[in-house]
Amino acid sequence: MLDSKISRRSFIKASTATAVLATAGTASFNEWSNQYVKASESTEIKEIPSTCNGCSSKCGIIGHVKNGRLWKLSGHPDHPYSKGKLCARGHGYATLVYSQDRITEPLKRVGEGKFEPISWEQAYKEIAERLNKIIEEHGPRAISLTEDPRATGKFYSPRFIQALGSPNYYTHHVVCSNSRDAGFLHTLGTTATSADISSSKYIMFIGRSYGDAIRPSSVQSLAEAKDSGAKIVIVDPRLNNTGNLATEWLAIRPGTDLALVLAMSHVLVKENLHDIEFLNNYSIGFEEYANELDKYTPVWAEELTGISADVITRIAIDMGKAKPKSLIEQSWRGAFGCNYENSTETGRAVALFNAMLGNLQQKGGSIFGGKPKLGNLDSKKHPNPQEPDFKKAGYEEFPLAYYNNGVATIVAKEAMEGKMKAAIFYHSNAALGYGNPKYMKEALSKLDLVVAIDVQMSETALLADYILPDVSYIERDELIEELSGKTPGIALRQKIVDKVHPKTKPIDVIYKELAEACGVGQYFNFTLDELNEAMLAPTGVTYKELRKKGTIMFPDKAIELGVMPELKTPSKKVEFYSDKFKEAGFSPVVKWVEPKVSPKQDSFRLITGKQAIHSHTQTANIPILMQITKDYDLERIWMNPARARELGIKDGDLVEVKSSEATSTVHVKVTEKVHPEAIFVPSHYGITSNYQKTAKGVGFGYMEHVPFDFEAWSGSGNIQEVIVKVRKVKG
Amino acid sequence: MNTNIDQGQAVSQLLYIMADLYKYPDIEIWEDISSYRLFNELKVCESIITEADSLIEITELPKDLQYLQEIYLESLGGKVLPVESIYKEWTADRICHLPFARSKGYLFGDSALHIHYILEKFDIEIPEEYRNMPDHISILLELLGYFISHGNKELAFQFLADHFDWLGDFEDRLREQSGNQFYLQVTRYLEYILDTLKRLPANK
Repeated sequence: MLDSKISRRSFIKASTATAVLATAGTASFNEWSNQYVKASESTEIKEIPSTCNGCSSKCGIIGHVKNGRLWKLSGHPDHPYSKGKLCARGHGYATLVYSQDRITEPLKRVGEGKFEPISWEQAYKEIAERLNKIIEEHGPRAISLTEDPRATGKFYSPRFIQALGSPNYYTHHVVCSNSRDAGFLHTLGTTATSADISSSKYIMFIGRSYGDAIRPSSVQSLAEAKDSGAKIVIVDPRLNNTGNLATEWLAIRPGTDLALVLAMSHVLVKENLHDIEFLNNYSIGFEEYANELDKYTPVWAEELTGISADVITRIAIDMGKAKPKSLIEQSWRGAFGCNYENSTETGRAVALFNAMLGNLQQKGGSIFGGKPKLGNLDSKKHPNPQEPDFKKAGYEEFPLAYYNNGVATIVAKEAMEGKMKAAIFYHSNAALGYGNPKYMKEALSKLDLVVAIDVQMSETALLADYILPDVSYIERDELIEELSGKTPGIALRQKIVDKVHPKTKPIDVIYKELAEACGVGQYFNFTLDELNEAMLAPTGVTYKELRKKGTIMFPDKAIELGVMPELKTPSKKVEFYSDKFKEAGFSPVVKWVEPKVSPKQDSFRLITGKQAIHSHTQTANIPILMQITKDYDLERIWMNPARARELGIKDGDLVEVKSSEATSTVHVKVTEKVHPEAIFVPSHYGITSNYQKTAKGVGFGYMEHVPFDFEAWSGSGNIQEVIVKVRKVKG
Repeated sequence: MNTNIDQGQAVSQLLYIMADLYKYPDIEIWEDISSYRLFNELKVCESIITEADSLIEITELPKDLQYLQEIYLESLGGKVLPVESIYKEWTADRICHLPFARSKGYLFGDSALHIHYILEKFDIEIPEEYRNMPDHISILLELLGYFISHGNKELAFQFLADHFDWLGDFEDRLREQSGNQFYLQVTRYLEYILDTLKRLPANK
């Protein structure tokens, strides 16, 4: 009857038996819904333990599945981070699995912002050809891989790039905790301690906010400490959401946290409140540091920080008296993770202040967590890639940065210089979040090959030559996650529901298949399950048991408080004097370092931070989370009333924010909760990807105003070394 | 809806053609579109169904296959997925604890589960990539066409009433898209055809 060829593409395939059709009644939507959905209390509900991906904490969750769909999420009761609770982000981000904005199949760039579907086989083939060509022409140093690591990525990503002969593996820490990590690493031998908050009597947070970067158990511990009478001091230019639990807020002038810690250290020495016995037994170079501290008086610090000398002295004395159950919380990004030119030195000073309190490995103090002893693959059956005989790009410039994480933005810099030719990004929106987006875009456009592996069309994916679709965390199994802490443990992310988009693949499969296409498949001759079995072998826990429980703790392996471990520093002790710093051309003892820029009378420092409902920019496109932003105008910048008055700005006005890098317009929240010299903007907004319909157009991107830069010590992004001017646009 | 063979076949054929228009375009369908063969066939089918002439024309033809594929990817391939679940409350399960349970905008809602139920009941298979998106418009149209061609009038009408009441919202979303209006016109035409089917005397 018809000439066109439409029947050849028919989706449905009916069997011959199908021709006998049932009556409509049994198949109508209402009838079915009444029978299977509305009256389905008796339907079986499966509970699958897994881990969240709403932020980097990876709290334990239980996924409840009904009719093959996710039906409910709850916090895993045994997991030390969730303790049976789950935050708003955790609930919200899970909607990703059924989001209409996922990347559903491999895509290849065919023009500016234009992509066409490509088969996995063809994508692998083309990527492998291009990678191998770049390696042949420029050497393996010209390729790189960057990620915001999760358990599977931590193992597979460095292994993949190493299999190709390159050490260039990088993480997001360049805009997270690179400075803190470097400061702690060369002082305490670890990039981070944890804190025994619930037993502490005096806790200081510098820029860190448990109330905004929620890990349910952290908030719970802090509440316990408060109930036990602990003093809780927030040092932050803005009053963050931990304020509800705080006894005191010090609205410090941004960029001067180092001065505060140096002055408090000065007071400890002057008042003889430092733990001399601890320092004698477990540290080197204290005398040199004490000499340096001599000049950092509270009066000196008052001028820099805006916090009165009396307050600095009082708090330092109180902390000294409460020792060892007093501490400065170690933070992640906080105020010294990657923020200012003096952040590494602030990190070092914080670690040293805690050492002066003698709180290391003490109840109520700073803790070196224990780790579970896990196994590995049999290297005879599963050979490891050879370690490259050269260091990763960025090491020469930033030898103090934690080598495993590297300095991720060196990839962009070297792309600009023509040295880097290929970049793979997994679970990473580097183009928007790691450095100035204009710079990042130009840098990525200079590369011969960019591959993005992601679940959604991020700004980085939009700049990629190939986009490989990852499954969501609700749809995949992962490698076993180590849980370090007072009590070590393990957790497993498991597939809760079948993948919604069949052409998406989990990262372990992507790496294995891409490695095979690249000719290095021999380094991935195992399955994820085999690897997990190998890791579990020494623990005595079976894979079946772990799958059933999701989280297993090892109380018999708990660390012993009061027993100081041997540190992994060159001297095996706390290093108040660091030869490593000296070798790198920096002062071996901590000294005051000025921030790189300072606001004038007519300008502000732009600062950023988290809100409790979002995680970086990864949750911005989640409708139920973004709706909270919209309902409460959370995308607004914060301005102090005194400065607002001077500028004729009222609460809710539309203003223009102008820096050396960009101009943005946004509404203002006028509030006493921010330091007069600072403008606070939450870090979750300013999405530009057209594919993220919910997120696009809300607020502005903080990083657009941040000049592309490296902190001299650790290579961090100096993300709060930004000066802006603000003017009213519309009342 | 008249169930005589000619009209039933015509309706089914028309629905199959429409179903094909919502799939990723390949060279063969482009040849059918660009030669107007496909639209002529639609008109032939339409004339068998109803004497009234459609006032809705599909005039915004893309210039070539590549452009058609581009506009598909810009709309139906991602930003405006033609999937029923997205346009309806996710579940009527009042004890579902998910925060978006009563929201629109998500895949694999109740309508998808219902299609799963129907597929299973009638032993009908669909491609693997649509396993969790079985309420994609192409599958819905093919199922409707199949029910009509196999003469189960009651079931077909019930299916038509149950699974095509979201097209207005879908059309609104397409209208928000800038650029070529091809898929918007296709959808308006589909709505006209489905309305016509609902109004046919045999459907009363």
